[in-house]
Amino acid sequence: MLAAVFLCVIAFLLQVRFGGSGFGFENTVLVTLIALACVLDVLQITLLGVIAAWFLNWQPGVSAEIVLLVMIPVLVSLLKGTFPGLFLVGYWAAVILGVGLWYVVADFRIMTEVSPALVREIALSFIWASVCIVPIRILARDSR
Amino acid sequence: MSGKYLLGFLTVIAVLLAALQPGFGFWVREGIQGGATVSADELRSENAALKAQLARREIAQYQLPDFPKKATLVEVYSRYPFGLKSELLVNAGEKDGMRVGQPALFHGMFVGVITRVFDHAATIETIFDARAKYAVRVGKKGVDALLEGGNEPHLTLIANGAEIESGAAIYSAAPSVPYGLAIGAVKEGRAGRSGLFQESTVTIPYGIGEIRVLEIMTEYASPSL
Repeated sequence: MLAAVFLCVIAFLLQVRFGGSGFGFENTVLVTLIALACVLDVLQITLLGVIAAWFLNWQPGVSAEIVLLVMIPVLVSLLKGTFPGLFLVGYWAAVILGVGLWYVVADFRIMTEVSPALVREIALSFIWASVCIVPIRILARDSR
Repeated sequence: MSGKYLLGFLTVIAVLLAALQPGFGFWVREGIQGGATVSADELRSENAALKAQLARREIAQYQLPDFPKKATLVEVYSRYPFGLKSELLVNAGEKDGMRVGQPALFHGMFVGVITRVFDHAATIETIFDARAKYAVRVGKKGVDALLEGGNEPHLTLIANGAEIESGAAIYSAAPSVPYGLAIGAVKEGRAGRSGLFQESTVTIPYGIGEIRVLEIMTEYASPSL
């Protein structure tokens, strides 16, 4: 759990410091939570998601983005047994569907115009997901 | 089993903190993002200098409006932390005279409009938001164009044959925004993807991360169409 918290802190620092500057760290926390949901149980990922939502919420109200930030990883955690023995298949399915669901629900209007910025963001989210595979595999091995 | 109870308890505490103390997250992100706060006096002097610069460009099609007499200076609490959208949260809301549709200026330049108000806070959708679209005019001849927002705002729907030069001023011409507010300048023109119109990249002389104080034109009421 401590390693998971550490990974979330790194993702949070990258997103806050470099997000919005074109480096592709805009969804680092979401992708990290989805990745961790593949190895953590529902309670653990819910706690991490709520803390991430607390630190990332930019307005006093509740928004679709903040709800999704918590609910998508929880959903992934609930469904992580779908591909038993096929960890990487389940991992990438979770990342692709989770990020896709994020963009569709957060603002569907953006999805009707596939801009180069959107393509770059999604591509860089997958690159970050690739970086997370190594620590996630270690966590998965240690949790057995 | 006790571990699960502890996790559940911590989750409930986290939910309560997130609901009751959202400002803590703003403070943490502000500390990480860094940046100095611009004082109101610095803002006014820079605005006067910018107006003088624009006047020297002899833009004949319009006159810059006077610095709004009824404008409220507000501080930026936080920024939208994810991609594609660009929103700012400011420290004044409905009880401070903020209303949806009021324009926000930075150094006298149009930045965006208020889209949501709370009691003592308001969110502003900026021109760096992918959803932002504003009718604008360009340069001395007032060429019509559409400003499309995003990380790199750009102009589209410029008539083929219209002459726009690099450095030409871009100013607002949308019905929902006061006419003639400076937005930026033309960077480089290019042919549009469809071939029917021209497009151009835009120079905005500030970054979204630099904005710490805004002026809200509280006297302006967006005309209902």
